[in-house]
Amino acid sequence: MKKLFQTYEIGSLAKHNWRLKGYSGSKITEKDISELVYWGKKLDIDYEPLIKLLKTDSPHKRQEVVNWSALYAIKLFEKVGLDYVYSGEQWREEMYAHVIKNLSGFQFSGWIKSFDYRYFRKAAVIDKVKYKDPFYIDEFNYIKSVAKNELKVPITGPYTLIEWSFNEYYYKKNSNIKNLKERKLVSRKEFIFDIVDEALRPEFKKLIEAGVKWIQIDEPAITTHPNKEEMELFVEAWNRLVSGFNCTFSLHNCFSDYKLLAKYVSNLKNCSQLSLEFANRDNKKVGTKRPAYDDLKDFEDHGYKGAYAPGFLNVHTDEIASPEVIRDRILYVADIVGKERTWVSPDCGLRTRSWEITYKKLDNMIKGANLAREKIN
Amino acid sequence: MIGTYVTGVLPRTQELIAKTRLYDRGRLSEEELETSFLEATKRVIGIQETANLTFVGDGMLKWQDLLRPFSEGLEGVEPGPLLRWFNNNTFYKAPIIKSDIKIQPSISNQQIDLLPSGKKWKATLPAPYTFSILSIDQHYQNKIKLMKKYAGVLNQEIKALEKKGFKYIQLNDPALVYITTAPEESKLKEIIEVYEIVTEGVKAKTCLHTFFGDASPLLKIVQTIPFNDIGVDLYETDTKIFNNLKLRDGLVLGVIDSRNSIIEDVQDLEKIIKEILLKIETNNLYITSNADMDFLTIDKAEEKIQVLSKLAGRLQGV
Repeated sequence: MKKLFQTYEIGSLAKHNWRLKGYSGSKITEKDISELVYWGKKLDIDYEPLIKLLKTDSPHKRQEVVNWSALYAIKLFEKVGLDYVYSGEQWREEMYAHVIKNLSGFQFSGWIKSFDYRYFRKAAVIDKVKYKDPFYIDEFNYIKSVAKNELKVPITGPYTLIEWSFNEYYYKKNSNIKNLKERKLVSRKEFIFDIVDEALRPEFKKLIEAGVKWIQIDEPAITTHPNKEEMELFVEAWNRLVSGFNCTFSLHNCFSDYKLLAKYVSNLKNCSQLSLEFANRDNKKVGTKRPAYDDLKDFEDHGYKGAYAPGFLNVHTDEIASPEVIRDRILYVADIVGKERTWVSPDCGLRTRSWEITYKKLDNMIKGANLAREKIN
Repeated sequence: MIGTYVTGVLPRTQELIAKTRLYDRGRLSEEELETSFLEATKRVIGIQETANLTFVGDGMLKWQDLLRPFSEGLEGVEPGPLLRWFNNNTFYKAPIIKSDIKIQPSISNQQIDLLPSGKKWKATLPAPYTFSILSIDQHYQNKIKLMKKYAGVLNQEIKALEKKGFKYIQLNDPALVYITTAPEESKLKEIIEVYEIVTEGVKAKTCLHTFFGDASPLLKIVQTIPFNDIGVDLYETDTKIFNNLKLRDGLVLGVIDSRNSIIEDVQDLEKIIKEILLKIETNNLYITSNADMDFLTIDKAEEKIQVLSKLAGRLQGV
């Protein structure tokens, strides 16, 4: 029988100062070194070569620093005991910018507010989208060479890529359409299908040929426009994207309208799992009443047959949920969707938390999953 | 007359954004951050002055979201989970209504010391319907009760701003027209009645500004809306509604798209507005951005504000 309540992190971790400074060429301080030594010891990493690297001016320094940073992330995930691991997106500037900067047709316009003091770099599409350089494959090849646990590759989905961009080129291209609503939809369709065909599918092909078994498609933006046309556009793009590939695909979506999403996910082809964000909506007390997770019933009612990782850690607070709270969340969800279909992950990537907090949160998540297994058994 | 202003929150400058990110990572002191906010606020006020806008605001750069000064500042309310801000890739913290709402004197913290003395000042606040829809109400358990209570609080806040010298108060009400939150037309009357509490005894000019949705249902009952001006998003509103529309007073047309980086063509906008003006009668027309401009970079926002200024120039005398 397959292990119950398998665990993974969604994607991103915070970047250490030595990673940021080592990459940008800024001066490394003693404090930065202490940080890498502290985590090196904690994660059983021989960190001396990294210290040497940070003090040199090797032409390959930037890439090697990124590799080291990914190694630290993988070791953290493996140390806490996650079943599936990846790089903590240490290779990537950010989930959106990483892809866009490797495609042609885009121009970045600067930082745009997401919330509070969090921002993202937003680009305008000013020409037809075209594949320029590989953007996930080198990362995967490195991680495959150093990770011991199974891998899950998070990638940014097409709907999110178009939604987070200003659509100039395709909008202007369709300026003959007088009905503005229709012009907008036609230009969005052309944009998203070019992203799928010209950018993501060529990269997926390379990833799968290189041995990727599981791709998690991150689509935080999919319920942004709560109307039928837009949701159908998301489904059409997904099905076009995964068509013909022999690989496991899952969907991650957070801070979203799940009642709306539930109506459409059963139309997604080859979507084996949903990673969602419910801990943010849940209460913090130990106990069996967790109505925040009841929206999962909507997904069931609309016929979704895959597994769920509904989010058991709130990633936007330093508060660390106890293993008992996490256990109760897991058991509540297992009652709704079945224990075999319940996977365990945080709500989203933990990049907004320090590594100390991240470690404690993930550690408790693993302990919570263990307690849930004990209870079930 | 044709007036101009910008709607609500302006983008932080790229320099300020860099500082807030450093602050967030513990690499910048509170004092240094404050200095950066002051510099950026001066710049966004300067952009409005240069464009010769009729009303000038402080840009609301410190507002983390439209509701935050209220979710953090009102007694009985606290900021809750992070949720999506309508159909945008931005998020707000939902106010949790824990107990009876009370207000401390003036909580919205406009930076009046930086506002130019030779200009009329404008403030933007969240309207009751939007506040009630976006809140998690654990106390009143009734939207109308919550709206009434909040409307009373808002009335006090508006009067406090009035005393400080604000001449124009804009209440942002996207939920009133947004596809999933707009009330049934039969319920609009009841909601608008609550709004009379907001404007009771207020002498400053007031505007109910809507965006992210079609304002047509609201415009059908515009005569009953107790505000001087009504604001609509021209990128979402069916312009057929303007045929023979009888306004109570002023009309605010959101003609600059805050959610697209394409810079509008002045002549195109001039044609669109002239067509609308053939259909309606008003002595008070304002042209503005359709929504908060913080979906753009400050440079794009500045270019668009200049378009607004040029457009107003071409429309004067129409």
